[in-house]
Amino acid sequence: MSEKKHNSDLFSTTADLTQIHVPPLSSTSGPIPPPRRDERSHTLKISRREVLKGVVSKQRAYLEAMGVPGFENRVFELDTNEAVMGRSAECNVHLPLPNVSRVHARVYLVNEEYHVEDMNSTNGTFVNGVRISRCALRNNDLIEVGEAKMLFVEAKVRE
Amino acid sequence: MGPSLFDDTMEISFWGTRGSISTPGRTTEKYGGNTPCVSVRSANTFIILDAGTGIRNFGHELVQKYRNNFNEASLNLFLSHTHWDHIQGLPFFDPLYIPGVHLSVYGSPGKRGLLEQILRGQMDMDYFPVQMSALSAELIIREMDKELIEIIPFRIDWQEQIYHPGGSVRFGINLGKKRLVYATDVELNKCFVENPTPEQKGHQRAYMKFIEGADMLIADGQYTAEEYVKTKNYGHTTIPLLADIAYRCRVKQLAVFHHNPPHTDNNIDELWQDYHARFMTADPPMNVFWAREGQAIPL
Repeated sequence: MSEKKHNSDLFSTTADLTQIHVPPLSSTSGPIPPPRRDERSHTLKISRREVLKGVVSKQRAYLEAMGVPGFENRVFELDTNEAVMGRSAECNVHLPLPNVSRVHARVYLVNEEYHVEDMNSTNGTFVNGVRISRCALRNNDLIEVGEAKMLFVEAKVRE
Repeated sequence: MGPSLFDDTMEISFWGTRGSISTPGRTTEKYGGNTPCVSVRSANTFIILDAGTGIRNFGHELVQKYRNNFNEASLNLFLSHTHWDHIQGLPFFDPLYIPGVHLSVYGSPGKRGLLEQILRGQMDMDYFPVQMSALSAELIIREMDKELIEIIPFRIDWQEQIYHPGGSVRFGINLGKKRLVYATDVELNKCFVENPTPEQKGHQRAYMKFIEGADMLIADGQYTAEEYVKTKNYGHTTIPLLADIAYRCRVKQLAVFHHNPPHTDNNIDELWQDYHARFMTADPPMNVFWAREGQAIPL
């Protein structure tokens, strides 16, 4: 790897680098200024930021209420590291429904992965029909909390 | 690890559910790609079933939970057998590198004194850079000699399974009135045949008695009936036969386990939809599901 530093963003030597080996460049013309060739080798350093043109990828997750009277098509975006579901008005996901405990379950993010955990509820928390104490969530998992059925939807989006 | 459990509740956590070989990748991330490891917890006592590659993540979680207080934890590993996919994760179990940790390992007496040698052998420097003698933790390796093993508050009973190359062991884990059965790596199709011999009948009865009325059965259901045509004698059971026997024995929840490496999440979702619907609408119902990594179930 070359030690030489360039001012151009395209050739930045910041930590976010991808190394690509290319054959010697034959032309210096063209609409885009050609990348500068390292003087001591054919290794070019190309900024990932430049390749992605500033596109930022972000993980987004939602809970979609399914067939719950009064909650039709309601979507709760999981925009914090933890969301608590329950009958209490203090819960992020407020579910004033039968068989839902005051503080019933929580959905939380750990190591880039969402999990749901039962909070010692009376009637239990289910994922795809199985009673769980905790479960790593995957796209389209159905979480049941009392009479509330919530579909977990996760997507990577470019902003 | 989840919130505290009531005294008579065990928490069953799946750390590895795949059979034969680990299968990382996007198509297996839901049900998991790590090979078998299941933990059963009551307070600070852990029964660990097999040490496939899944035990690595379990070790991480234990270290996070206990850090410098491992003397509070009771760690007891029960090996169904010593095929690679059931022991391969042991050298990567972080607590083994922490001084003061004690791990009791239990295995079949059928190894005739060789269990320790087998486990030590996989850490020979030809296979792994750290030898067992260099581990900081204390390993106590036992070949089971009693029919019932008491590790308070659990009582563990076990039986040999002959329908697997080299044999394997099934375990019953009992807490209060709850019973969990772990019976993987067995080819029931070679025992539950149309015209059984007296010996096969005896094995059928023993198996059915062992799983009778279990609150949960974690069992080998590696193949579909179509796949079994080409995989006969590999030592694994077909899903329809397993579900049928479990239902006849009034098992309450069936966790299909030891997933076939080529089975993708979509394949398993389709199987689950079929079997779950069929057995949940039966009278009485049986909850059939495919065990998945990262799933913890209270029992």
